[in-house]
Amino acid sequence: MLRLTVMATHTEAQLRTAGEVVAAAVHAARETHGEGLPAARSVA
Amino acid sequence: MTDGLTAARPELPAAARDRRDPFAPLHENALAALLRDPAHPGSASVAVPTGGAPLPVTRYADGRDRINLGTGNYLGLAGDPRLIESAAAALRRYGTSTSGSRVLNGTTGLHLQLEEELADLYGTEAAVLTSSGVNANLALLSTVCTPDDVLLVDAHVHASLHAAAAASRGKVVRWQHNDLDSLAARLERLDPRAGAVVVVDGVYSMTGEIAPLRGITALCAQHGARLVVDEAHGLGVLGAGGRGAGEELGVLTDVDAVTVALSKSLASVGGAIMTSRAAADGIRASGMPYVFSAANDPASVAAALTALRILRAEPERVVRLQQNCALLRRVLADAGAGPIQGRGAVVAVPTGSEEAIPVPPGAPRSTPASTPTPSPTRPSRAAGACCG
Ligand SMILES: Cc1ncc(COP(=O)(O)O)c(C=O)c1O
Repeated sequence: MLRLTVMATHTEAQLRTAGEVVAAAVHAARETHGEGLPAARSVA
Repeated sequence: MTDGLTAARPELPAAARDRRDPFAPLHENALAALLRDPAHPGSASVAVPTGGAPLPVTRYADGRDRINLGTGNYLGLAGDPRLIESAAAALRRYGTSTSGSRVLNGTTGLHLQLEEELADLYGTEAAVLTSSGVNANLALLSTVCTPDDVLLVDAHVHASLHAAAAASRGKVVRWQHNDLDSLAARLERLDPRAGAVVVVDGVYSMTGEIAPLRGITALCAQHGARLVVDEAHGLGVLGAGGRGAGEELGVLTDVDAVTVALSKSLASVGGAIMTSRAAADGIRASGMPYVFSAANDPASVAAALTALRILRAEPERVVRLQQNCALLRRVLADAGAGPIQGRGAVVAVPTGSEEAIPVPPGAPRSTPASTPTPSPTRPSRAAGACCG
């Protein structure tokens, strides 16, 4: 599990950059370890 | 540096040669071993101290700026000039330390003022300040219950609540995380004369999930149980007034004691328990962290007080935080890395692995800071992963 925290003062650009970098890292980790969770447990 | 004190034990006398080393759990700690390896992903960001306030983009001591996705400074107040000024004024007036517990000359007017305003925020008769959120939980749970009473603790509460419950005289019973049926089954099995305290986090610190407090308060009412809610990650984050999950779900008045940490939205350090006057008096009389530990330093009390006033005067900060949380959750979901369901400022993304994960090569210079941490809800597991 990757734990992130959000601030009221983050800008939209910072959160978008961070979200994309983190998502890429998560995909890389899932490829390596091959046990991602089913989509049903992932929500926006 | 370590000439005088090393992990090795001196040669033991023959009669003691078979004695196990009680420090072995420390020396052989798996997470410590992982972090000792500089090549392990995440160990660098544990080792690199920050070089400035925990801002959205934080300067680290290695000179790099990183987007900070691992701070509890949810409202962004840790660098706010108003907090810094009030802390500096308190330093000048009261000095650097209280140098005594609350009952040994450690109480300043600032401590009393902060307690009054925290009680006012939560609509309780009293608030008791402690020097950390951990100590708030310890001061409360270690002073409730007789040996015939029971603490019913959600399995995923913060480590400090597990430890605090273990320090209570009551019997500790765990129930399945956020599972009302599991709680109900345990309440039904209780001796009808046993006192019962249900213990939950308002917002779970590792996942941002919130407790189903409406169902929990209904069960507490049905079974005559008291309810303790840790709002360390709810304060400043949820509810129109930023009071946490209890406010968000409209059950604040059904909670017997709320604990908070001042180190997150209030950008300071310390903790507090909001409860009835009688319970607060009992904690002040017998709570070990209140009676026997030095009172919060004046500068951090002043900073928390200023932050609390800003929280109340500028509710738009809470709204903005909630919008930002929704945005990050959406961005992650759109990119195929949807977080687990939560509403707090903690966003947890399943990676399919217990290991810390590396930031990919070629990521922008302003990369998110990533730190592996042990999960506070599962103290025995070797390693979770955490951004920060
Ligand atoms: C739910 C919860 N309670 C209590 C605490 C402890 O707070 P403090 O750091 O002030 O001791 C934390 C800290 O992270 C927490 O997440």
